[in-house]
Amino acid sequence: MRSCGPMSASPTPRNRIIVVDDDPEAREAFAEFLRMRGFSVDDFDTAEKALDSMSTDLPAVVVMDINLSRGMMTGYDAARRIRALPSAETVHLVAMSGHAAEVVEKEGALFDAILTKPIDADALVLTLQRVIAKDTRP
Amino acid sequence: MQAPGTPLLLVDDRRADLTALETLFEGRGYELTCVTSGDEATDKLERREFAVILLDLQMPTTDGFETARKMTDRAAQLGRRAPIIFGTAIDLGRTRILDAYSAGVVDFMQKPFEPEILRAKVAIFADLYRSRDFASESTRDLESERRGAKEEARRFRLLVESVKDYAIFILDPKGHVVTWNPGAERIKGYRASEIIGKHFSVFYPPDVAKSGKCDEELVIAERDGRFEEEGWRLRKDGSLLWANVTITALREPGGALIGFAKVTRDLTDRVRNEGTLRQLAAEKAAHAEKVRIQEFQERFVAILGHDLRNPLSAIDMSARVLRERAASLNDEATARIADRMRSSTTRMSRMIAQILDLTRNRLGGGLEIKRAHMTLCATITAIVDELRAAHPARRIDMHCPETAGGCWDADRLEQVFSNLVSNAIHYGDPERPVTIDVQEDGQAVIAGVHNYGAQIPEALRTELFNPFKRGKSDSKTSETGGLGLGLYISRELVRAHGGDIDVQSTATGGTTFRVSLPRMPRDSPSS
Repeated sequence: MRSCGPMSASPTPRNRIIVVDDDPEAREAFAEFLRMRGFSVDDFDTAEKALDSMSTDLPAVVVMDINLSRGMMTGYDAARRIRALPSAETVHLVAMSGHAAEVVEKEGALFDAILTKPIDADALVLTLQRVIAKDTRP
Repeated sequence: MQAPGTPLLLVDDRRADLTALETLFEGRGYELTCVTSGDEATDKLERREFAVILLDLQMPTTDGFETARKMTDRAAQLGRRAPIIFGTAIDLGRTRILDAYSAGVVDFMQKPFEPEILRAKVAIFADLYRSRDFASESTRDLESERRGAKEEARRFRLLVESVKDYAIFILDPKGHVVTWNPGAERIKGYRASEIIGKHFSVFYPPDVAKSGKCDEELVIAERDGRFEEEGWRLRKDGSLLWANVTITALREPGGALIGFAKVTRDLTDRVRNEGTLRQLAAEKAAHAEKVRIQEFQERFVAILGHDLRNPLSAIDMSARVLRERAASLNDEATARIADRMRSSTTRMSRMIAQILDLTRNRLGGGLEIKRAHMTLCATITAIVDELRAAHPARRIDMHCPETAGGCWDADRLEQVFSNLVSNAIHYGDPERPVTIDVQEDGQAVIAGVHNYGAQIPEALRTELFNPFKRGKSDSKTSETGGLGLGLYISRELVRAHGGDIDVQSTATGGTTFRVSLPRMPRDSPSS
């Protein structure tokens, strides 16, 4: 059994994004829009499914709704799990919430950026570009 | 306790005879006093009355007659009776017997005594004594009863006079005050001398007194024996007291009305406490209501802020995807559809934001502003650039000194000027420019947004800033067609900065909305 991701095999594409949101319309709209902007996007309605996918394929950024009602995990739980993955130290986390200030106060340190819902499409793209540009990997 | 025996005085100079007499009367209900001389006997009489005195004549020192006379005289002086039975061994003869009677002797006994006869005679006098004693005792009872009644009345007066918590007084049958106690003085404020003789209607508020209520109360008390109520009464100083009042009819044993007893208790404090409790309960309820409204408001704001706007964000993104795909396929018709979707989405987004502001302002006690140092030029330039792009045919002039800055909320002022400049474009003469002119005025910055539009009627100028008011316009484009909240929210935002907006409008000069903004919050040092 493979212990952790496939990083040694192939470097993570810098434009690979995972979107986690339990609202299918919002999730698909984000995904479509980001694909249009040149990102490679996978979208999931629960944090569990997103984490599963990460055992084989690590994204550059996970864009995550904080209030996830479908799975057992909240956005915070998922963020902590991802941060705990030894292989996932290069993964950036962007939170989406109606209450950005609350996220900053509670678990601000977990995230590279926090976006306030409703999400402005241009702001989302700019944030992703900024976060990925921060990446110092060779 | 056994009643004392009938007092009997036995006088004899011979001890043996005295002992015999004693034996004769012992155990028969007598209280015996035995002496052996006339002097001693007189002495005993000084101390008390006797039912019978048995006196022996033949005594050496004192003559029996002499002793009898002395005792009778003394007894008369003391107001006592002293029935003396002479005991004698000799026949006295008629003269001596008469002398004896005149000396107060009531009967004679021949010695040696015949016990039965002596006892019978003594018994007669003893009965007499006892019946007289009973009579006098009855007299004493009557007297003590009178004394008792007097004492009882005194005690009752003391009781009434010591009561401070109740006004207790008597009214005559017409309702005039007859008596007054310290409780009445304390509660009502009148001294006895001030109030006795006055009608009890003075204790009522004037309007109540005039209504005839006082007489009615007396009528009820007379008819039913009693009247009771709680109500407002008047003190001497004019202040009101909440009183429990009882009026009781006082009647002679025969039934004739002699007046009324009135007992009044001051319950003002109790009522005040109840009032305080009621007030507390009301405050608690008001607080709960406030919390409920606040919770509702928070929920409402959350719905407006997120639940309604999140789908709009999805529509907007989808419209943009559609727009770009259409463009890449040179499909202009689809591109126009996508543009329409986007502009509608923007418009709706803005309306929701306005409703959100209105809600926060109306329910939440003002709009929140986040101050930071900024210059107005940067903000206004951005707005003007955007609007020039959206309206390429319109001329928008702008004059703004670089130093026109202050401690303001940039996002909120962007909202204000975006609204004012958009309005100017919409309502202004399309052939003439819209002008933004910013000037510094010491501690304030004044920004005028001018257009050459139709004059706004005087009456409408103040109303313009009310929620849901719109200027007259036939066209309703995506840019301006809204809820009529723009000016209202703009003014609220400027006011939240400590400034204000006014409007001037003339037929020839056009319309100017003038925003004045203090550079610093009023309560902070302006240096």
